[in-house]
Amino acid sequence: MLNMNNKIIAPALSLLALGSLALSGCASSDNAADNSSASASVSVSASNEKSDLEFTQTWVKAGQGEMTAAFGDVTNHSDKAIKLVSAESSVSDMTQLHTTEIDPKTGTTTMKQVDSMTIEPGETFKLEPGGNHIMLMDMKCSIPAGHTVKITLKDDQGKSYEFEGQARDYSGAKEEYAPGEQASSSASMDSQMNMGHSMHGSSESASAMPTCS
Amino acid sequence: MSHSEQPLQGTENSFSETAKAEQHSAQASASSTPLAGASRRAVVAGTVGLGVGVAATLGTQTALQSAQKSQPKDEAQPPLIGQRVPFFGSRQAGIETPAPTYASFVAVDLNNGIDKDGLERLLRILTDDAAHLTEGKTPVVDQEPELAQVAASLTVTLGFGERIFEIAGVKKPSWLQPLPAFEKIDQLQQQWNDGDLLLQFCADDRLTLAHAQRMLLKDVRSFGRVRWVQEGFRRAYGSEKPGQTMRNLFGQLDGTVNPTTEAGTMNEYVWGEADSLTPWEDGGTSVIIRRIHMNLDTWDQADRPAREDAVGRKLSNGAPLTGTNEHDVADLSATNELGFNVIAPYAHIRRASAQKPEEHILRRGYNYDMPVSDASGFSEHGQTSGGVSNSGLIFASYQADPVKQFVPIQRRLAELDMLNTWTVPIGSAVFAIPGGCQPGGFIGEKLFA
Ligand code: HEM
Ligand SMILES: [Cu+2]
Repeated sequence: MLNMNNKIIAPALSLLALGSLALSGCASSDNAADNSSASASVSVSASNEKSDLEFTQTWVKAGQGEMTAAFGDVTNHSDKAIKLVSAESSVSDMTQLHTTEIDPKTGTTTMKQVDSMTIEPGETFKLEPGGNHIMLMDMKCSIPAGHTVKITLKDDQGKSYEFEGQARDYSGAKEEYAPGEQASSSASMDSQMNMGHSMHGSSESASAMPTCS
Repeated sequence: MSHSEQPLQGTENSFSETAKAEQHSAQASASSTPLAGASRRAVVAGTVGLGVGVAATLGTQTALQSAQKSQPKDEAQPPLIGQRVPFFGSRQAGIETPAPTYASFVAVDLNNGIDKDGLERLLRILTDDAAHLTEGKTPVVDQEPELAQVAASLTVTLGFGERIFEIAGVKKPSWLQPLPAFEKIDQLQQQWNDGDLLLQFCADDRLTLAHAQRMLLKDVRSFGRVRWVQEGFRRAYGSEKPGQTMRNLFGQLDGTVNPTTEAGTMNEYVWGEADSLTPWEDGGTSVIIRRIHMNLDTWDQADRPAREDAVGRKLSNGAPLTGTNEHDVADLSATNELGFNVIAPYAHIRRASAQKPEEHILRRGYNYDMPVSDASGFSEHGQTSGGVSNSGLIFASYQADPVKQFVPIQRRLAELDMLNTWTVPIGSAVFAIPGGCQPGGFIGEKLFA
């Protein structure tokens, strides 16, 4: 459960947001393992480290907000556990490993940073809305739908694994984010995840941020 | 990890009916994965109630996995589940492949600001989702993944209007423009004309089709808007033997004289391999979608001999009036005892028959029967509303060159065709259909080469 020094803010999310989170596309990856050959998806396996980790069904939520997230299925083809400890992307200044937990007492779902994600040999680890994900924060640019975003994950041995995700319009994953211990409700507002904020998640309309290239 | 997938790319345009036995290796679900390390930051995703939703989602996922695992490999499979039409190949599916029960033709107008890069991004995501859905696979952001699991011969075919070529900065095929007006017959309604991008969906399952359409229209949402949707149907899967000619709402066998794969005429006329034709790009062709109102009320006033005389074919089995079987060749020169043509001068098949070697088209139409409420009375000749039906044909014609192949036929029919007594064209659109693509590529990629 959460550390004592974590300050949890439970903003009143709209029913819409609740609905979209609950309907996250997690089952979408059921077929992912036998999907790789069939898919026209741009996901690629880590080329620099053979393909110990295979990434399939990868995508990033398109948008113009300050934050977004990357999702997909990560399969460990090696014979030892791989412990991912950090993430990096050229489109965001801060990239973190996140998970989502449910407080059994209150039903509150909290999304929070984790120090690592461990993928056992043979396991397919799911990154999905409402679950584990790669959080992109302090976005440098807005990601239009169809744009390819490159993300690099590092394990505790210093090995890096790169994958690409196609940006997709997605109305779910509207989580709000409460940064750090000193978070106040106004801070949380400021850094609202805002990814689907415009009603239609329009990635083609004008944006204050430059478009990622 | 087992990869039991059949190669997605079959022989070109082959029609795979093989149901694939899904093999799933044990996959640890995300919820059971050890997550080391305590959190130093908390992110709040929601309040009470959300937890239930997340838990329910995980539950569904588990149920889904076990359902798939327990699926028997061959026997007792409902017939449409594994029915797949290969998506990848040098030509797009949905043209030469058998026409399934349902079709939805969707024309999209692209937003003003779309540039070449935006167009490429759109085509890439449409391709990716179409490839998954036609395989019975879940596209990456599918929020109703269960609906994607029955492929039911789903095909998704993309077509380009003039604007696509403007955006891409590529010369369009010369014939890509609205058809000339056929003043004697046309009563075109703007709501059924033209469009920048065509999405053609065909499937034997209406739910599969609805889901595929929604998935791709969600992809389109930030790039453009829907201009028109035309939904059509044929007899249900299983009602007839595969390959039987369809019946339209006049009760006619419609599609008897058509190019075929077996005779090689599909290659010649649809894919432009005939000497006098050139495909606009490798694997490319064109589609003309004419929405043709059929006045069933005035058709009711015609008795069977008059109906057969109007077309030159029998209603029972589609045989020409000069023959006994559907595929007997019509003898247009035959006369009766009185010296009159057996197949009348105004008969549809005489007027539509080729006058030049390249004048052949693939007709792959769908019936439409729109809901009418508060309906009564009788729709008079030439009217396109009233009566108790709002019915017709989504006349979809595929050919390498609309101007050389389609227009001369339509000119003759507009000039004289007894069927015009009961039919009125109310919509018209022309699209260039680009070639297909291989995994990793995307439909329309040659515009970006
Ligand atoms: C609602 C409108 C129409 C109806 C109900 C209709 C119906 C028919 C029927 C019953 C046949 C005979 C069987 C067959 O070969 O399929 C036929 C043949 C044909 N139709 Fe139509 N048709 C319509 C519109 C058109 C249009 C707009 C065109 C082209 C501009 C066209 C072109 C042809 C051709 C090329 C044939 C084959 C002629 C041949 O025997 O060589 N039809 N149509
Ligand atoms: Cu997060």
